[in-house]
Amino acid sequence: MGMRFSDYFSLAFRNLLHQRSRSLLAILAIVIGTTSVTIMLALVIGAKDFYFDQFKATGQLEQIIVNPQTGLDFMQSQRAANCESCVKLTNGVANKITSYDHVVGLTGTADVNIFVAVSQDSHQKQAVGTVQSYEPNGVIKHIFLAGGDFTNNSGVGKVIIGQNYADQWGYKDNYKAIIGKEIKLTTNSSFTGEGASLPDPLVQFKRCQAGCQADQIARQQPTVLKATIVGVQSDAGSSIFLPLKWAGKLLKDQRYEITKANQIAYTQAYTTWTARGQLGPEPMPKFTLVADSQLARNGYSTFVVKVDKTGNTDAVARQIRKLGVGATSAKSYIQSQLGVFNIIGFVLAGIGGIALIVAAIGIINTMVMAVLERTREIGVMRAVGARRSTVSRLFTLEASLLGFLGGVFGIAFGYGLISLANIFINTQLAANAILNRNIISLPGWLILTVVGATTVIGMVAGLYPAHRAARLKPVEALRHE
Amino acid sequence: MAKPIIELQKVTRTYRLGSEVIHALNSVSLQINEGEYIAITGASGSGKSTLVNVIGGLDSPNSGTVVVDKHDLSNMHDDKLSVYRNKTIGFVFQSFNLQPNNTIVENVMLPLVLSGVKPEERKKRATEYLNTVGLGSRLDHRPSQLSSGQQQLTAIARALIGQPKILIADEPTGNLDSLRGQEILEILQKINDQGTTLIVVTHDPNTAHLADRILQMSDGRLTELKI
Repeated sequence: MGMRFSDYFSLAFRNLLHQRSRSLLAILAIVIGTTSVTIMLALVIGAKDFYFDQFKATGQLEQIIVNPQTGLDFMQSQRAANCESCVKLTNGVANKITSYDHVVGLTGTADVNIFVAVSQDSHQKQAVGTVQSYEPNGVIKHIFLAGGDFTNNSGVGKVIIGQNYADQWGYKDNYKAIIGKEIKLTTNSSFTGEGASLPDPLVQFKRCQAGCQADQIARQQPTVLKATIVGVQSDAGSSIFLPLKWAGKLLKDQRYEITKANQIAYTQAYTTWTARGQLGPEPMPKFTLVADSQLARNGYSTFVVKVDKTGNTDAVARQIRKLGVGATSAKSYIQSQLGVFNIIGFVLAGIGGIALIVAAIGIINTMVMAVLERTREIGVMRAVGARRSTVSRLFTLEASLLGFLGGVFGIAFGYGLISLANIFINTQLAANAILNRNIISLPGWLILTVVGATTVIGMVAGLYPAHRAARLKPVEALRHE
Repeated sequence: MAKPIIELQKVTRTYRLGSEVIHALNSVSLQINEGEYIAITGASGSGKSTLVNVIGGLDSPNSGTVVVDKHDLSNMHDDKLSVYRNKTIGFVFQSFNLQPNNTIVENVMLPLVLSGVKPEERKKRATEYLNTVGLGSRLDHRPSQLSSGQQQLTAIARALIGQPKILIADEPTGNLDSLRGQEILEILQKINDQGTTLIVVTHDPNTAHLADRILQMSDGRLTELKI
């Protein structure tokens, strides 16, 4: 039979109240430590989550990027490799990968490096960043500010533009308004794909029949292609995306050739014409348009493979690598990147931890003072039946309460500061058209851990003062002035 | 037939004061019967307080045996000794020793708080005891708001609330004027009349003469004086 649980609490609380200025100072120290630890951890966690969300929103967590070149990381893999002896990413390779377990989708991608400028209406012409193409089969996802994905794979003349273009053209506050608008894409002067205005081979033939100087050869002219905007995306703000089918048509080397049969026919016709005294119009050779697909020749830039679960990405990537190609998952990339955040987190929490240690010393000091001040009171308690353990528990509890209250107020204060920071950050995010909000978060487990930790710190700090209090001899304590 | 409630056998308690060893109790043997009113007198530093502290379980002897109400205190564990102080003994001190931050009803119920009595029950009992000492209207006052006499009455109520068999009062009137002192002594007398064994430490012969027996301490030794 001893003191009731509730009485320990009410006594401890009252004792803290009676020395409230000293208690407040001890709590304040804990509050400072807790606030800094909380904010620092919340920042790191928030940054991690934000980073993670970027990958999640675009479906990249379930993706594997296959690149002809091996040994690249997830980000490097997304660009076309400059790799001559590498395994080509052909439809055959694609079929093999699609047959693997856990693979639920695949698209080839092709970089379309043929455009030099893009314009919309009378707005200023913009230089073109990267232009990529993919099959709109749901493997690649974008974060759309307006519009959406291509509705079919053919999609000739359809584009998704990056947010930066829309911003430049004055649609910053109304991305929707640009959907359905036409843009003009200017190719470089060596573009010979579908839609290119190739010079008339006969004109050229005639002009150079007697032999041409290099500067007399008709130059290929840049082509202007029209396209309709179907979506504005924010995840790669300077990129333009095309459907893969259209890219296939654009990535062609077209030229006029005279087939062997036609050459023979022409030679005969010309001989006959000459023999007849060049009567009538001069026969001309017949030209045939020959097209050579760059995709067929070089293979795709990358494959993006969709796997059923994030957890399976690494295993499937390993299997794909056996084909002699590079394959990386976002998962392993993120993990290596998060390592940096973890280190930052540890360092920051360590600084906060030092503040908490200092605060713990403050609690020890406060409680030792309290024991000295309340020596006589302890003596009276002992005289009327308090056990050593009762006294010890009471002082330990008081110290724990200091830690607990410091933790609670520290979290509350930290929460306030985080909320303020989020308000500021939100306006920044909105200004950059990033959809995430309140990116610094204070998860429940962090709150519980921090308050739990400060309570334990208080308790541990209270052990020595409590021991001193319990060790006091009743007679001497009663005599204490 | 008188039954012994307190028995001391060759009890010695020494203190070290620097290099000097002080015999506060020097082989003291003593027997006190249930319901007796004992006065312990002696000069300052003669060992009176040490004697009652040993009987009350606040101090432990270096040698000898102390048996109170069939409890052998000599080798008692702190937990049991604390229960003993809580249940068997009531203490009244010269300087009252009330908790200054608590109201007087809280002061009086402290022993019951420590023994785990329910809040309603202990409040009720504390109020009863304060009523009997005439402080029923001052329950929520703090000790500093009371006169010295009232503070000592509060201390008496606190000592009695655990219904102890033995009440030890160490110079209970030492900080009071003679009129207040007289009042306190009358109340103690009444408590003794109701069967509680009473030990009063005093250096005042007039106070001592109210007791059944007078024991005199001198340099740690005990002699019994006849009335």
